[in-house]
Amino acid sequence: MEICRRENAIEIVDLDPFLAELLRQIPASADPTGGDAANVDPEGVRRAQERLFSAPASPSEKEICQEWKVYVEPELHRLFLSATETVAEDLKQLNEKQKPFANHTLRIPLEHGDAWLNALNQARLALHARYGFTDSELCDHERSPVASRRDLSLFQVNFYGFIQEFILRGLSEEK
Amino acid sequence: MVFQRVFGYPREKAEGHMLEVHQKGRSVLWSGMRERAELYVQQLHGYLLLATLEKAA
Repeated sequence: MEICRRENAIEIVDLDPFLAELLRQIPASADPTGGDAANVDPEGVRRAQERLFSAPASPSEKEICQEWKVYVEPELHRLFLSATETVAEDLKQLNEKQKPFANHTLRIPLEHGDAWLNALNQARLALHARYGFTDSELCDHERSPVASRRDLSLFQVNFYGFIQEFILRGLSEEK
Repeated sequence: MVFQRVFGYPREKAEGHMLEVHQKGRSVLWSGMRERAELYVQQLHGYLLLATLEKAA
């Protein structure tokens, strides 16, 4: 896999089918309702929702917290959904017909950079909250092999962070 | 990048706050009128940061 800046976009070329599948999972991983995970791990989904929609003040500040639920949370829902929809639209490039097991190319327009950063953040935080990764697990970049759903999610969190770094670099080069 | 965008802080100041969060787990980013503080908290939540309002001591 190679990532490069090309004109007004970031291009990920030679993306193998496994990594392409991980990218396809960004919208589902970021889904605050948990999608399929809601039935399997309702407690993990609750933790993820709590992290994505955290309280604006101490619980003793009841008025602020109640107003936030009514007026601000729906706005945040819309913001987060809009970001994942933009990403899902870009990810359609990975569904274009080509030979089975062939590597892919993904082009992320720089104007979609903020949406990608946001959606990747949502996915990373939701996965982190669901699986409760420790700091040492998150820093262990040599960890292998991927032997469970939890290992795969840890790999996802690190891979999404890697993509974020490149998008950030692309956005700062733009200025 | 987020602190620069939300508060208009210069890079050095934004990085100082980021470092403080990293080392101490929190940083006081702004103090002033409640309405404006609420707006800042909302913007920070939009970037998925854990931000809260507190009454000044």
